[in-house]
Amino acid sequence: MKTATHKENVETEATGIPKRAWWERSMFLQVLQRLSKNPAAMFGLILLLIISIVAIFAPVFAPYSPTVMDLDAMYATPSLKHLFGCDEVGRDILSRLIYGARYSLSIGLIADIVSQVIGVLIGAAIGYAGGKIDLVGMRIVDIWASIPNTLLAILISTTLGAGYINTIIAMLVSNIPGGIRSTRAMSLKEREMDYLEAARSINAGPMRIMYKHMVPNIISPTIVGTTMGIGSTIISVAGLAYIGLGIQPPAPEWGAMLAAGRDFIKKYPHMIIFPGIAIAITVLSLNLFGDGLRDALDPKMKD
Amino acid sequence: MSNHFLEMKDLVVEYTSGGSVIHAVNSVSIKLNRGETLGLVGETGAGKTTIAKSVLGILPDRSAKVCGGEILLDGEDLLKLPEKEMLKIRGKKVSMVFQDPMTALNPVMTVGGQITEAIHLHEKLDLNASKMKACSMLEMVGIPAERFNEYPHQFSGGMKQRVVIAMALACNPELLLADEPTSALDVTIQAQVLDMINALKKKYNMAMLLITHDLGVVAETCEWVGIIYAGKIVEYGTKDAVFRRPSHPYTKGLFGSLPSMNSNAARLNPIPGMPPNPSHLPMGCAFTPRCSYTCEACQGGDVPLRELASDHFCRCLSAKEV
Amino acid sequence: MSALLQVEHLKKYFNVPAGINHAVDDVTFKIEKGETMGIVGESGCGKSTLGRTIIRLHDASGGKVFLNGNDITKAKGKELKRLRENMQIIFQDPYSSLNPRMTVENAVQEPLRLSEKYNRGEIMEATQRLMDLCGVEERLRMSYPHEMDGGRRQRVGIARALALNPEFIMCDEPVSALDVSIQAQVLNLLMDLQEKLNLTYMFVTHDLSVVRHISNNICVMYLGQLVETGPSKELFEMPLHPYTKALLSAIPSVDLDNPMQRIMLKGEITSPINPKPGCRFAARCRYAAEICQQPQKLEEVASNHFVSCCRVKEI
Repeated sequence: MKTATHKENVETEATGIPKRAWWERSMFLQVLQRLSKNPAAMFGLILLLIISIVAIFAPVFAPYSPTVMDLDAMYATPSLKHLFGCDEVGRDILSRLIYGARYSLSIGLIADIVSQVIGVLIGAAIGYAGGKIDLVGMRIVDIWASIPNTLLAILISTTLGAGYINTIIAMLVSNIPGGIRSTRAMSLKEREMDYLEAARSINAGPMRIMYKHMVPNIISPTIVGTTMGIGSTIISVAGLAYIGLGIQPPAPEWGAMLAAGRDFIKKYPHMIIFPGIAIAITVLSLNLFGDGLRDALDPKMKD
Repeated sequence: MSNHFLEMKDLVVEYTSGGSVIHAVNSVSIKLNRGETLGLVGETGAGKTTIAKSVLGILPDRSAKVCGGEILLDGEDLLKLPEKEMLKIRGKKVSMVFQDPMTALNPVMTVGGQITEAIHLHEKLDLNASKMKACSMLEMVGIPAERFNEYPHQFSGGMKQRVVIAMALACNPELLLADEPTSALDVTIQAQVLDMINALKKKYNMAMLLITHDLGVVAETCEWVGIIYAGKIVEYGTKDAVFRRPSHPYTKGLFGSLPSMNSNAARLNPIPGMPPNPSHLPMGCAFTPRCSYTCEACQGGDVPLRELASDHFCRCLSAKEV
Repeated sequence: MSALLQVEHLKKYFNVPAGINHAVDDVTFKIEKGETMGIVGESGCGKSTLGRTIIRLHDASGGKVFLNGNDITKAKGKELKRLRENMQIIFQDPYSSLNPRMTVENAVQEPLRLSEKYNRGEIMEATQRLMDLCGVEERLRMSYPHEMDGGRRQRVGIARALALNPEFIMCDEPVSALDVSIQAQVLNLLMDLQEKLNLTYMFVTHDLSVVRHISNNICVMYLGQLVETGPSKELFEMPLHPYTKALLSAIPSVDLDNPMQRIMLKGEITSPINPKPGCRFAARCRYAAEICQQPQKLEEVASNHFVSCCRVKEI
C-alpha cells in the first residue's frame, strides 16, 4: 500500500511507526545531538576540551618548567617574556597554571566521580530497601552531612597528612552524603514502578533489580550533578590551600598559588588574578556544559 | 447570520514538534444549538481535545497554530477575538471540564476558594456574595456545604470531578466543553456524574460538547454524534441515525469491536491495524489501510462529507444514501 | 478434579499511619485449569492487591493459597523461585511495566536468562517464538519501549510473561490503559493464547463488558470483601447482591432500545482502614438493616453461585 506523501519506508505506512537507523536510535547519540544545538553548552564543552588538552600536553604548551626558579625575575609583572608574570621565587605563572590544570582537573574528576558512584550504590540500596534500613541509614548520612566540609578536610589532613591522595580522600568524604541523598530520593519514587515488580516476578534478585534495572533509569540527574560537582570540588580544593591543607607548594596547584599570592594582593596582583581567572573559567565551562547536559537528557525521558 | 449557537467551519489546527508538522485537526465543521449536546467520539490522537481547546483559545502558544476556519459563538468568531475579550468569555460564556480531576484542582487552595475565585472573577459580585454562590454550587453537585473549606486531597476522585464541574458551571456558562469528564471515574460514580450533568444541562439550557471514546456515554447524554478519525469528522448525525445506521467503516468497526454485555461471541472483531501517524497522513481517506470497503477512488483525493439523510452525514465513498 | 488455584480465606492487611488497611479480607474462590476468573470491582476494592498477594508479590496476612494442591502461601527461597516461574503477571500500564532502558529482546529474554536453564541458542530461539506468538514484529526486536505504542508494549509484556511457560497468569487490568480499538486486539490475543497454551487466567478489571467476554466465572469485590461469585453468564443475567445489581445497572449502554434502569447508590465509598465488622456495603445499600452489622458469610445460593448477603433471599 503506497501513499503519495510518504518519503520513508513502506513499512511506515503499514504500521504507523517510522523505521529509524541505528544511529538515530542510540540514546547516547541522541543526547549528543541535542547538546550540539545548545550554544552555551557547546561553548562550555569546547572550553573544557581545550583546558584538558592543554593540561594533558602541558610540556608542549608551557613555555617554561613550572618548578624552575629564576631569582632575577621574582615577582615579575606580566611581560613578553613571562606572559602572566612570575611568582615570589621567579617561577613562570603561565607554566604553573598549565601544569596546575592537571591537579585541579584530576582531583575534581576523581573525587567527584568516585564519590558519586559510591553515593549511587549506597543511595539506591537504602532507597530501594526502605523501612528500617532507610530510617537508620539516612540518620547516619544526616550526621555525616552536617559536618562542615572544611572541618572534615582538616580532620582528614591532620590524620593522614596533606598531599595529593589525601586531598582526594578529603573531597570524597565530603561529597558522598549528597550523592546518597539524591539517589535515595529518586529510588523512593522509582521503586513503585511496575517494571521493577515485573523483574521480581521473573525471579530477579534484589541486587539485580537495584543495579541493573533501577539505577540506569534514575542516573541522569546524577550525571548532570557530577559535571557541576567537579567545579565545586575544584573550588573547595583551592580553598583548602588557604588554610594550609590540600596540595602543598611547590606543586603548582591553583589554590596553592592563590594562597601564596594572598599576601601580595596590593603590590603584585597578577599573582592572584591569573590563578583566579583560571579557576573561574574552568568552573564556568563545567557549569555551562552541565546545564546543557541536563536539558539534553530531560526531553529524552518524555519521549 | 447563522441561527446555531455554536458553529465551527472548516477548522484546521497544526502542531509543530521537533521539525515535523502534526495535522491535528483537518477541516472540521460542527453545528450546535442551545440545550443540545454533541458527542465527539474518537481515539487518542484523533484531534478531539484540540478542537475543544481551540474553542476556548487555550492551545499551547508555541507549538500549536490555527491555520484556518472559523469558530462562531452566537455569531462572533472566537478565533478573531483579542485575548482581552477571550478572558471575559472563558469561564463565563464558555467553560471546560478536563479529564483528570486529580490535576485540575489546585492542591493548595480550598475547594470552596477555587469556586469562589471563578465566580468573583466573572460575575459582578463581591467576595461574600461569591462565597454564597459557591456554597450553593457545591450543594447543587451533591457536596455538603460544610466541606467548603476542605482541600482537594480530602475528596475522592468522583467528588473532585464534581467540584470541577461545579467550578465550570459556577458562572452559568452557555457552552460547556467536557473532555472525557468521566473516564477517570468508577462506573457507579460515572453514572452519578452523568446524571448530574444531564440535569444541570436541562436546568440551564446549556449547549455541551462532550468528548469521549465511550459510545455508551454518548448514548446516554448526547443528541448529536460526531465520529472523528485522523482530525476529520468521518460521520456526523443524530444519535439515532448514527447508532442505528452506522455508515462509515470506522464507525461500523467501533460498534463491532465492542464487547457486548449480551452477546456470547467468542472473539471480538477489532479494527485491524493502527491509527495513522498524524504527521504522515496519507492522501485521500486516512482510514484506507484499515478499511475493508476500500477502492481505488478512496485514495484519489479528499473525500467529501456527503449527506445520507437530512440528519446524517458520512465521509465515505461507499456509504449508501438512505 | 482439583482446581489449579484455590484461595481460602485470604487476607492482606497494610499498616498505615491511620490504622490497619483491610485491603483484602477473607476471600475464598477457586479457578479450574484452563479457565478465566474475572475479578471485578471499583477502585479501592482490593482486586489488584488480591492478585498480587496470590502470586506472592505481597505476603499474605492470613489464609492460604493452593497451586495444584500445594500450599504456596509460605513458600520461600528456591521453592518460591520455582513457583514464580509458574505464576506470572501482566501489568496494567504498558508504559511503566517495561524497563525504559531495555530493548524488546532484552525484556523478553530476561526471565529466561534468570532461570539459568537455557543456553544462548535456546534463549534466542525462545525469544523468536514468543515474539511470533504475541504478534510482536521482528523489526521491533531492538526497539525501546518509548518507540512503540501502548498496544505493542503490552504485547511485549505478554511475551515476557509467557517466557517461563507458566500455567497461571494474573492479568492486572491488561487492556484498561489501551485505546478502544487496540483493546479488542489484545483481548483476542489473550484468548488465543489461553486456548493454545491451556493457560489459566485471573483477570482483574473494572470494565464489566470486557470481563463478561473473557471470563468463565466472576468474583465481585467491594472494599476488600468478596460479595458475589458465580459463572459469568448467570451473574450478568441474574445478579443477586445489591452491589452487583447497582454495578451492572451503572454501565452506560449503547443499546438505544433497552436503556439501563439505573440503581443509584447513596453516599460515598467508606474507608477500608479499621472497618467495622459486618457488610461494608451496608452504608450505601438501600436494603441495609440491623442484621447487616453482623459478619457476613459466603453462601451458595445456586449451583456454583455464591453471595455474601444476609438478606439476599428477601430482596
